[in-house]
Parts: sequence; C-alpha cells; structure tokens
Amino acid sequence: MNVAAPLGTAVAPDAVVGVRAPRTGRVILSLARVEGRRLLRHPVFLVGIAFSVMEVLVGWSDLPSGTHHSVVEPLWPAGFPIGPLAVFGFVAANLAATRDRLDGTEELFGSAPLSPRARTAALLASAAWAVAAGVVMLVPFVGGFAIAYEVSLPDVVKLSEEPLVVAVSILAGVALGRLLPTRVVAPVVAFVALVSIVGAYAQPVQPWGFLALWVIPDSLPSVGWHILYLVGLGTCAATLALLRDGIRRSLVAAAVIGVAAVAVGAILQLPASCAGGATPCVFR
Amino acid sequence: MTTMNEGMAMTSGARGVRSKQALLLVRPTIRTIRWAALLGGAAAAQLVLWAAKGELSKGGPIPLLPMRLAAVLLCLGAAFVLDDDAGATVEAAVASLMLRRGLRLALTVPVVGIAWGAALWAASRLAASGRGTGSVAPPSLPVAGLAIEAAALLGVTLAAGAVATRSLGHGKGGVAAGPTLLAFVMAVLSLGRYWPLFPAASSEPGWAAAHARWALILVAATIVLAAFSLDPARRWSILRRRWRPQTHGRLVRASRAPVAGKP
Repeated sequence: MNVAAPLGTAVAPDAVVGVRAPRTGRVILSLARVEGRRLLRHPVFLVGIAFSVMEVLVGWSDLPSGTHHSVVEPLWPAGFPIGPLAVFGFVAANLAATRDRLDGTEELFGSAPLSPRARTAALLASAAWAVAAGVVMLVPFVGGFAIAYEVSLPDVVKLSEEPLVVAVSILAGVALGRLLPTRVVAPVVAFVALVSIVGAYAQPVQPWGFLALWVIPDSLPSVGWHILYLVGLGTCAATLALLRDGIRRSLVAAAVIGVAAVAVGAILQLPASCAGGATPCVFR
Repeated sequence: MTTMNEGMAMTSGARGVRSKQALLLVRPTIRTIRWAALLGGAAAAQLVLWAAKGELSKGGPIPLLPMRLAAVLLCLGAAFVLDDDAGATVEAAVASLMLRRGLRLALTVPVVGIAWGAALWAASRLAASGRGTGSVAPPSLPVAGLAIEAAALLGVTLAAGAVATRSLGHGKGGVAAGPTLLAFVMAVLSLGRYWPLFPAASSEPGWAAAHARWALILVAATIVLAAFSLDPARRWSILRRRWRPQTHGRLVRASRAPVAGKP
C-alpha cells in the first residue's frame, strides 16, 4: 500500500513498482479471448449450435433419399447448418454488446483503464471464436458430403463463404448493439434475417438473392466477388461499431475501403457480370 | 350459521380490498409497461403486410405467410410485456405476483389483440383489392386458425418471458423471450416435415390437425405462464402440512453456552 499517496487519490500498483502497463493490442487480445469464450458458452449461441447440429442430422438423413440433393445444385444442402449459427450468433453478439447498457454498468466500465473503443474491438475480435466453431461444425459434414457425392475441390472452395457469413453476422450484431443499444431491435433484425435465409433457400436464383449474405454456392458465378462483398460488409459493420466512440482518420479510411469492397463485390458477383451471360451463369 | 355468515362477509371484504388494490395498481402498471416495444412490433407487423401488398392482392388463394410473419413480429414486440424494472421493489408488496402480472396482461393483451385485428383487417382489404368483380365468391381469410396460431405464439413468448424473469431477474424476461420465440419458430420450420404446423392453406388436409397442435401448444404455454406467475415465496398447502417451523432447534442452538469465552 502506498502510504504517501494523499487521501482520495487512486494509485495503480503497477505505477508504484514501475512495471509498464501492457500494450492496448495485447489487452484487446486478452479481452477478446474472454469474450470469445463467453460467446461460445452463451445460451443463445448454444441454441444456434443445437439447431445447426439438428440441420446437419436432418440434412444428412435426407441425402440418401435425394430429397434435397440434385445434380443442378449439389452443394446446396451443405449450407443448412450455417443459418442457425449466424442468426443466433448475431443475437448473442448483440446481447454481449448491449450488456453494459442493459445491466446499467456503463459508469462502472467508464472508470476502467480500458477505453470503450478497445472493449468494442475485443467484442469484434471475439467473432473469430464463433467462426472457429462454425468451421469445426462444417468441416466433417462438408467432408463427408464431398466424399459421398464426389464433389470437386473447386466447388468445395465455394463453401468458404459460410464461415464468413457467421463472422459478418456477429460483427453486425456488435455494431447494432453499440449503435442502437435497445432490447427489441436485435430479435426483430434476426427474424428478418431468418426469413431472408429461408427465402434464399426457397427461391435460389432471384436477382435480389445475390445481395443477401448467403447465396447458394452452386448459383455463385464467382465465389471470389461474393467473398469480397462479405468482407466489405464485415469491414463496414466493424468500422461503424468503432466509430461510435469517436472518429479517427484510420477508421474513416477503413469505412471507405469497406464501402468500395461492398460496391465492387455486389456488382461483380451478379450473374450479369459473368462472362457467359446471365442465365447460364446462374444455372450452371 | 353466524360463523358462516362472518366467513362470507370476510371473504367478500377481502375481495373488495383486492379489487381496490388492483384499481390502484392500474396507473403505475401502465407506466411501467414497455409500450414502445409493443407498438414497434405492431408497426413492424403492418409494415410486413404493406411490403407483401403485391403478393396479397395478386388474386387466387390468399397467401398466409405475410400474416404469420406479422404475428411473429407482433409477438417479438410483446415479449417485453412482463418486464418490470420495479419488480424487485414491489416483490414484498401485499399485491401478489399473480395479481400484478394478471393486471399487466389484462392491460396489454387487448392492445395486442387490437393490433392483430388491424393486421387481419389490412390483409383482408389488400386481398379483396386484388380481385375483380367476378361472380365467384372470393376466398376469405381463415381468421380462427390464424388467431389460434398467433395466440399460441404469444403464449410461448410470454411463458418464456415468465421463466426467464424467474431465473434471470426482473426486467430481463424480454431479452430471453425474443430469442426463445425465434428458436421456437426455427424449430417449427425445421421439424415441419415430421410435425407440420404451418399448412399453406385452410383447404389442405392437415389444417385441422395442425391447429389442434397449436391449441395444445397454447394450453401448455398458458400452464407454464401461470405456474411461473405464482409468487416464488408461496408455500404450497400440501407442503405446509408437513412443514414445521424449526424454532426448537434454533432456540437450542442459540442458547448454547459461549465457546472460548465468546458470546
């Protein structure tokens, strides 16, 4: 205890012994680890995992009977488990981002040494844990599926959009929680996302469907442009979340890059931009 | 006879006191209800119908999907009805949890009903606008079936809110009730092949069976809601007979001699 410190002055023990405070990046990483584990253990995210497993089982049981599998869209069933994980990941991330507001602990966090921006960055980084969970869940299913139906490797590469969908939905959940910290918005947005995913399943080749997060892999003329589109959306969401705590030049530059990626990806992923023309490109 | 009359007088007196309490609680309860979420849900439901205007006014059989989407959005708004930030403060009040929650539901469920009625009216108007003046009678909305579906969805939402309030605390039921409703809808969609609950039209053969299932879901949700609206401190009459206050043991423990000279 520092006896010499005047009454009412808080002195950090590290400052007394002369130890350097850890770098912000390292602190963000540590906090992201904690937030990531919390996200994976969150009941809402666990419900998403349960639904994903159920979709895998239902999809797998349907494969031999040929209910969904077709020659035209061989990769379609491989996307089933991603929808629930993305929707419930969005809600769980949103609840994590609004936690301080809902619990009325914003003032307590305000007195902590870490800035709100660093905490937001940690929440955004925690998406990596959910993506890892998505990959772990998807790999055995896709592997078994690809072997059973002799799907080619380039086609399997198209499935890389699916973990990105989970990442983008979690980043969007954090951004929405930071910008609009109310209780009612996230479930409504999640429900709209759920309906749009179901709509994408039902009507796979509608032109507006290419602007959704998840596009049936078989319908993608070029997976690269769609991935660029998703990366752009994720960058925009992350930047918006961070901009809430103050505008910086680097954030503005990131936002501009994100918007450009969204625009370029959205235009070039459309079937009309495909070299072979619209219809053959969609249905190939 | 005199004793019976006295008992009846006491019961009616207690009822009078209870109704006075309920009347006094109306205004503060209105103030603590999250009307913004409820009205937001109602507005979102109308918005969905407006967005599906083209599909509804196309003619032919009325598509039921927009009505179901509207019902879910309405229920998502109603998920916060049981949230009471003052719940912890009034826990020790004379009015029981059942009375307080019943009052809350009596004030909000009619509003949800009106919003649902408005949605049905808007959908039927939109559907009617798409038909010509032909001699064939236009198909009408299956109001009763849709009402059972909406009531069951509301029941599931409120039951989830009541369970979450008990486990997470006052003012947090809605946060769990919304995702629970989403999970319920997703489960219904996923398991629809084995247990169909959303038939596309009232003329389908599985319509009556599906709505019998909806009615069962409604009953189960109502039972859960009622069970979790009982005061947690309530002592059940069966247990009360067996339970004896352990005053004797406590007295013995308290009257033990001080150890090592401590009091």
